[in-house]
Amino acid sequence: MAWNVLIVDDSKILRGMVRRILGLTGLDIGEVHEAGGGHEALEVLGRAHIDVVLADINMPGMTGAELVDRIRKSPISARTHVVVISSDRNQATMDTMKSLGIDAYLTKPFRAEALRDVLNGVFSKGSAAGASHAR
Amino acid sequence: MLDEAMGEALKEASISVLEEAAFLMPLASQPRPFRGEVLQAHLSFDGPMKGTLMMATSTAAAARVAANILGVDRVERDAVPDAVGELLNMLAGCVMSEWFGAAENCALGLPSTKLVAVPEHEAAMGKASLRVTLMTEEDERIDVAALIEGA
Repeated sequence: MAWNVLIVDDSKILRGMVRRILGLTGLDIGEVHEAGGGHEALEVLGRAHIDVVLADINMPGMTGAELVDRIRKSPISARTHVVVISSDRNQATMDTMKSLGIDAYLTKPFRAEALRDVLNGVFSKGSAAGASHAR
Repeated sequence: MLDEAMGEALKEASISVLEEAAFLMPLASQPRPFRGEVLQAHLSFDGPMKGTLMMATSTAAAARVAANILGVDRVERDAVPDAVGELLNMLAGCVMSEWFGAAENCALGLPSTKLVAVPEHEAAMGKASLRVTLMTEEDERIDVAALIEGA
């Protein structure tokens, strides 16, 4: 079964980087959607079936924390997996995101193997639950 | 006086990020003059120390960085500054963790970029508290510097 992915980042080049690395994981990936911010991400989640959201957190407008909170509170997306992909390696930030219900936290830059391991772990859980940290 | 270890951490983090995100194999080197304009990216940090990180390279090298990040031969012109800014963003996360540890709060700003003339860039490098010059296999220069308040 192919997994549909939503990449959320205000940087077009980083969305492209994540998309490229996603293609190198060897995972069975279906549709790959992109959103340049939190509001656009919620709009995509409202109209497309998404299995996992790969989201940055340091974005102008709606922050990643606000986005995760909105995703978890929406009946449409409450069980959608969320993986944060961020340059921020601060433990407090990771703990905050974990408390909001993300599935994993991956720090940039990262290799395809790291993303593959994170997504395999996320998908093996079945539905969104507690978070695990990568790296 | 800044700890020598901070300079070493800046160099190592720069090499690691350029290798992992942009597939470059840079080495620390003596600076060679830039020709033409220099693309500078800046990003502020505010934690146990406060200041600004800068990454700079030629527009040609920046275009190669952007193409490498995306895994393509050529990129649109507007992607080029974004690539250098985002590399600096990744570097900032790495280097703050190395300098201050993951337990310390350190707020990072959003990256901004600008084109400057070579003398202006060299003056900025001269004022930096910490500076690293790297040369890629294609003989392209990439500067990384930190301007730390009170240092």
